[in-house]
Amino acid sequence: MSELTVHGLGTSVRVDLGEHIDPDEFATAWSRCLLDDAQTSASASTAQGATPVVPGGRSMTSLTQSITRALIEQRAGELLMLHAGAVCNPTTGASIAYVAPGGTGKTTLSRLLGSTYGYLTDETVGIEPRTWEIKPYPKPLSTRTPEGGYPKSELGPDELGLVRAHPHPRLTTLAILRRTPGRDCARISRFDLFDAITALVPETSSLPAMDRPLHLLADLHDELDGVWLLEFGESEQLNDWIDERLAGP
Amino acid sequence: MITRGEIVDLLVRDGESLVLTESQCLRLTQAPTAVLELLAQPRSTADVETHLTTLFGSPPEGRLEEILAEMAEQGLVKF
Repeated sequence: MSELTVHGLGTSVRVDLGEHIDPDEFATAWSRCLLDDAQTSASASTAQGATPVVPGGRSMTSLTQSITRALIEQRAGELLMLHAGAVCNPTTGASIAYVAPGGTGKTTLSRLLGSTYGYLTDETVGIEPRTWEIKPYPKPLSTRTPEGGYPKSELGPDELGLVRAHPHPRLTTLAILRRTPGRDCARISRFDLFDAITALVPETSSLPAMDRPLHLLADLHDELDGVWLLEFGESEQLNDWIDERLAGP
Repeated sequence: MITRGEIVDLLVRDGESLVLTESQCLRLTQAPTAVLELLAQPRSTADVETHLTTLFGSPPEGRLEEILAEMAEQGLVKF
């Protein structure tokens, strides 16, 4: 049995690769989330409970989904978790999270932005309440095969040459993506408070487990001076705006 | 008596609100928001009617019952 420890969202799970997952392929794809033996011991000795074990799936894609679910479950009630991709300025830690349902551009945008900015995740952004520090989950990027549909292929951020993140990224910009294929330029606007929260709630995990979750989202909205709506056709249309948001000393 | 339903959180701004339950997030106008705020403690229908009348004037015939029925349907209040 081959077992590895995967770190993400500020916690760890052990993964039993089972018989269908190639350990080398897994190690390459998950390179930024794997703990070495010493880190695993340290993590185990500080963990409050037993580290859960994720059983190996039949494919890398299904295993990725199981790992994500297990990590989310571990942090329920502790982190504000959004279905979002995120990157940061690798020097300052200033970060943007872009929220969207599956299949609507998070991974594509993460791959594009990750060649310039520190890659944090393409799927789940975990945010520490009040400090707004992001707990990175630099998982492999799940991309559809050229034929489209399933199975997806899982490509590690190192394989793709994505930039490494700042050690303490902090959320400074929060946006909701709305991609319309064929749209020829981006339109960027700001939500009012209630519209922002109404749009964010369906794209959260375990929100009701948080303490006063609507007030938490309102505090975040105030802290960030609003939540943005990014309507676009192609990811490249957002480059200039994101450069502006993440620029800084 | 009327009580609040299983509400996770209620966020009030300028008299209107968002309410979160285990299954949904709803935007409420002023009257249902005032009802939920009043129901921090259980109240009778008469208490609710008096409170709404004080805030917004006398509601049209049957309107209060309509509001309460809609709120009950969404799981926001219980009788």
